[in-house]
Amino acid sequence: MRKRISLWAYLFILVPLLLFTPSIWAADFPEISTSDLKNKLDANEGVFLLNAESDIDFNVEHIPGAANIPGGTLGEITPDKLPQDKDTLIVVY
Amino acid sequence: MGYKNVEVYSEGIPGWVKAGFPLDQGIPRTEIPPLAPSQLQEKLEDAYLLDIRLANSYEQGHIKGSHNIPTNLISQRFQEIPTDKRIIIISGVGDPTWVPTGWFLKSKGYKEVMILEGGMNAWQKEGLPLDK
Repeated sequence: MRKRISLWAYLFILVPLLLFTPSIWAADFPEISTSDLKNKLDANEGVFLLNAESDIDFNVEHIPGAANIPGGTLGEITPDKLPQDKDTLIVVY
Repeated sequence: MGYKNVEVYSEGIPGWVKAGFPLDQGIPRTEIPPLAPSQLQEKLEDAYLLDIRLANSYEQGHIKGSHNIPTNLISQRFQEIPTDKRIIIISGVGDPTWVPTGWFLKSKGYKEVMILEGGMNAWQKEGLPLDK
C-alpha cells in the first residue's frame, strides 16, 4: 500500500509542485532520512510536511504535524494551504 | 507552483515507526471480515453493495444492485449508505487498500462491514454475473 502511495505522491504532488521551476524540473527529487526529518521538525525549521494519501488513510494515522493534500487534488486546492514562501522545504510522503 | 526545495520521505510511516517515533492516530483498526464471492451471491438481497472502484471501472461491469462511491469520495458521501444493512465493500482485486475504508465506515457507526474477498477480479473468475 505504501509503495502505491509513493507513486501517487510522485505523479500528483511532486510534479505539479515543480512544474513551473524548469531549473529544478530535470533534477531528481532528493530523499530525506528519518533522522533528518525528525530533527528538522523538532527544531521548528519551518518544514512543510505534506501527506499525499487519501483523507481516510491520513485520519487512520499520520506523522505529527503533517498536512493532508490527497494525491490528485493539488490543482484544486487554494494556494493558502501551501506555504507562501517558495523557499520553504516541502517534504512529501 | 515554483517551490524550489522539495524532498521525498520515501521511508514513510514504516520508517518513522521503525525509528520509534510516535504517530497521530485517529480511526481505530477493527476487524473487517472477508466474504467469498459465492457467499455474497447468496446475500445479495440483504446487503448494501458498496463498489469503491473508480467510476470508469464500475461502468465497465459491476455486480447488479451495487452502488458506486469511489474510495476517495467515501468520506464526503458516506451518508448515502444506509445504516440498517450489512455493508459489503467491493474493490478491484481485493488488495489491502480497502481496509481503511472499512475502518472508516465502522468508525461512523456501521456495525456490519465486510469485504468481497478477491474483489471484482475473483467475482469474474468464478463466472458470476455482471451488469453493464
